[in-house]
Amino acid sequence: MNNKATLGEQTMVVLFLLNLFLIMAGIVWGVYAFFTQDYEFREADSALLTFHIKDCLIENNIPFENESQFAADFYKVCRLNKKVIEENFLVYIKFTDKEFRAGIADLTQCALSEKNENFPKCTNTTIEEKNIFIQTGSNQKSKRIKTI
Amino acid sequence: MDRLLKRKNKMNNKAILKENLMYFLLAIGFIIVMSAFVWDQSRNSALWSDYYAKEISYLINTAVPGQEIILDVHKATEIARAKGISNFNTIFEFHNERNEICVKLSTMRKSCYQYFHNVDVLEYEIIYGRPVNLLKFRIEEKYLGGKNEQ
Repeated sequence: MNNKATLGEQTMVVLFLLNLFLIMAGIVWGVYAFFTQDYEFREADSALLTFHIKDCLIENNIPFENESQFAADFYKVCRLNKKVIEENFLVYIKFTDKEFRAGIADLTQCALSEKNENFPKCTNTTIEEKNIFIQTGSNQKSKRIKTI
Repeated sequence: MDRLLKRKNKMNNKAILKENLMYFLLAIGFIIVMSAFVWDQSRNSALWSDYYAKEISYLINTAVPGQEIILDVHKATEIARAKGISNFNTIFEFHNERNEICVKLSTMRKSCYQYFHNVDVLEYEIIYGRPVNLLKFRIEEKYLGGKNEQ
């Protein structure tokens, strides 16, 4: 048997293993990138809050005499938890000449949310017949708590 | 001459098969190891607890008081069992005072998520094997008289 002739074939094993290693590295990277990310839910949360508020403002006439009175009625009538909204969400409601703001962040962050992952994901809508503009945002991330 | 050629061909075929067998076995081994890795990662308890916490909070946000919700949580119970949780009633916790749901699919950690809808979640329980494991709970108006946790 000519050993010199088989040397080329034997070195192919190294290339084959290198190939497997590269494929493995790609799969491991892809799997970790997919499975270690949080389940992105901020946009869905924001869309739901927008829908919830829109539905509530269409169904109910909440008078806007001053902001604190409106806030109290708004949370109660729309069945929203004030603490949760103020900690994790952004609510902006604009009437013809008045506006109501609650929660985290500001509208600039909503506008820039595409550019920065840490900014809240926002949605907006308008109630045409009442001339009310609603914008909400969510920046809630799930809390991972150690149990032992 | 013809027989000699046939024999030579047969020997060549055997040699080619022998050479390729190692590559074939390596490739099969690689596919098995990678499939096991992806399968194991797809049952990642952190991801699934996050998923269940968020989806259940979404359901609570869309529910109306008086509504009873029954959910298929079989996948969650399977993952929890694989991670060493035997009492499935400890998987889901509803904290009405914080408007929060926590999902624990491993003995080490739980994922918690808050819902903005100001309601209480009451009478939650796991229903076993009908034909899958289900989570049942009821949505009620917020009890404002004090602590109202099950």
